[in-house]
Amino acid sequence: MKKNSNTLTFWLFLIPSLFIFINVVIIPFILGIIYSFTDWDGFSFFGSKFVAFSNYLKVFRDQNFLSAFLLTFKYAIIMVIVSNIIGFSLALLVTRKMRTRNILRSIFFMPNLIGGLILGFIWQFIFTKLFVQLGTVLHASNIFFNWINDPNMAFWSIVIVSAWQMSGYVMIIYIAGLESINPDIIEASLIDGAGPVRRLFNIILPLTVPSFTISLFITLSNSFKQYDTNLSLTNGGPYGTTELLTMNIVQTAYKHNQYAIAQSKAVVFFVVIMAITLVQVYLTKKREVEM
Amino acid sequence: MKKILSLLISTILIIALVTGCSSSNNSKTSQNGTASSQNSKITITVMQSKTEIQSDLQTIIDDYNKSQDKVEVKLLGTSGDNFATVLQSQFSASPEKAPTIFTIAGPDTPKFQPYMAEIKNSKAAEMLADGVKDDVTVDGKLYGLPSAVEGYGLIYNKNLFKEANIDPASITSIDALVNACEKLSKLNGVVKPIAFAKETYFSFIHPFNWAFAVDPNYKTDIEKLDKGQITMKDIPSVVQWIKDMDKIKPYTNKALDSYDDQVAGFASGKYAMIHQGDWVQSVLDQDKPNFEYGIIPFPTGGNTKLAVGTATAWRVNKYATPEQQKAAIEFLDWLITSDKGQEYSADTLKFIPAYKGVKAPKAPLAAEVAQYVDKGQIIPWVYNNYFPNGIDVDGSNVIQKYYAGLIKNDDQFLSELTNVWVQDAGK
Repeated sequence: MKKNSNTLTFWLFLIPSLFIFINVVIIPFILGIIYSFTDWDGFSFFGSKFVAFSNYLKVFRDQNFLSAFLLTFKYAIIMVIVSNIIGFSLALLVTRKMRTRNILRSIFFMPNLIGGLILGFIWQFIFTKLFVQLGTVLHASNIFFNWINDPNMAFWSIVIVSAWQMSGYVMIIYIAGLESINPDIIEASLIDGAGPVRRLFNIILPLTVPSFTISLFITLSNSFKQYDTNLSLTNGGPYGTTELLTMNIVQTAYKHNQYAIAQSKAVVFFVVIMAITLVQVYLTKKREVEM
Repeated sequence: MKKILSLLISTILIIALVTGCSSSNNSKTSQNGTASSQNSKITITVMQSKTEIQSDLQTIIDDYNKSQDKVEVKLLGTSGDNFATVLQSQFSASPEKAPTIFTIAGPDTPKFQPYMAEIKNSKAAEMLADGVKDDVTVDGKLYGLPSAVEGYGLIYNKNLFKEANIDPASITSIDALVNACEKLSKLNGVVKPIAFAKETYFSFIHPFNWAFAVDPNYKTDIEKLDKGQITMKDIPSVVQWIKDMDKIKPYTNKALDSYDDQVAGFASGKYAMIHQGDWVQSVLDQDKPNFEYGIIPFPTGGNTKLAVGTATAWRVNKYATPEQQKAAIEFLDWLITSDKGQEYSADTLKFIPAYKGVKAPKAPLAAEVAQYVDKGQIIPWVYNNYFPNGIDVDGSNVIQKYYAGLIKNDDQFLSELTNVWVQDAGK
């Protein structure tokens, strides 16, 4: 009797969220895969024809898609490195015994509370207006110019803004990891005469690998899915040089009206992200040590 | 006991959730049902894309509903920016329940073609101006009533022109424009004589439209272009347009400003001319510049006509009942042609009429555009119906490259334009 009522409560609690999950995630996902094999035009699905893999062939022949893919790879790799290094350093900084550490933690985390869209608009002002002013005032217009209008610097401006936003978030994860290290071990290493560098590489880093697993996963998948900052900061410009993958998919669907092809791109995108993150989680999991 | 209680509560909650959704649907349909059966009123729904006129339109519709007792017009919410997407989802769900009257114009129109009813027996249709008829005609049949037209060209600062001693009427060729730019650039405070905005429509679609609009055979030329039978090089007006762009490029801001910056720059006297349309009126009204301004055509190849097109057009849902369709056309006729409707259209909604002999709004730019329409000095917005989907993004990438100096000569410019065009048309 007791067991029965337990499973009943279990299902009663599960059903509402399961209902929502199935409706907004599972069903659209399956429908999306089906659409990607047809010539669906965004209107009624009835009447569209089955076209097998021709959408996927078109996707791989699309030069813009491939270059957006490469750019997204570059972006994701840089973002993972930059935001994790900054995030981890900040975490090391704010776990020291300082008076301002609580304030600093909230300050570093703050950018994450502002949406990426708004961050993009704020920074657009900085890059297009403030930088130009700085350039004229400091007579350094070779460093401070309108970054958004330069293809190379426009890409880096997205990296700066997103890294600024992302590192505060991973900092919190690293703080949790650092604070869960048993102080006895640190003390033991001090007694054994380990310097700060040795302590970092031989004690702290191996013990925070679980935090790295999570942080790397989050930064990797979030960077691949980057859309909002890209949209509000550069909108793919100048001349399409900063168009990341998600933006390319949106453009295909809503600008070129090729819903089925955009859907195929999304499926390809999903498979690639899934493969990469699974490999990453598998690799870092192997390095985790249990105390 | 506690467990049973919580179980009971959660079950009730779920039931309430599920039935809550369905019951509201039921009540809605029954309401409609009773409304039509009791006093035989026909209900039609309107959904339109301009958020800024939504509340004014509501008052106008309320007035119409009071003025007669046969038709009940209901204004549905609007979504502004992604209007076409929202409308599309309504039609893909069920065309019968989609709005009776909806607005659509421009590149999204062909998608909705299967859902549009032909406009017949309409008073407004007979008064439609010739230049804009093309925008709403498919295979010789009328499929919409333009709600308003908009015109664009070079909006110029009258004071600066006077200061530089230039007669705006004399700018009938690119050389005259270049001369004017030369004089204007010497004036104090003028940073660049001409400014374009960087958004895809402002940097590419609108300027490039001149190249086809001045071509009398643009329909056949574009058809051949789409099929790859000719390239941009074979269309003289396009070649001419590129030569003209080369001449004025040094005097422009290279399309680096956003729309807001461009208009603000014009209002502050930084730019003497901006390539824009009468829609900047609302922004200029806020900025309150201390000079007068007017609008002239872009004189590519000696052009003296303003580019005027349907900003958006009222369409009637083909899947609505015949009674609803008839009521919809009656309502549109009232809005466009009746005395009261004309007053509302011009003074409240500030629509520049697409119809002959209809009242025009008073704002300076709108009045000038309306004059061009009246005199028939207009050329069409070719891009509304003939440009391929996605060309706004791809084309603006090409023109930004051109401004950045990455395109070496006219031939490369022409071939890159041809490439993106054929690619977008072929997909």
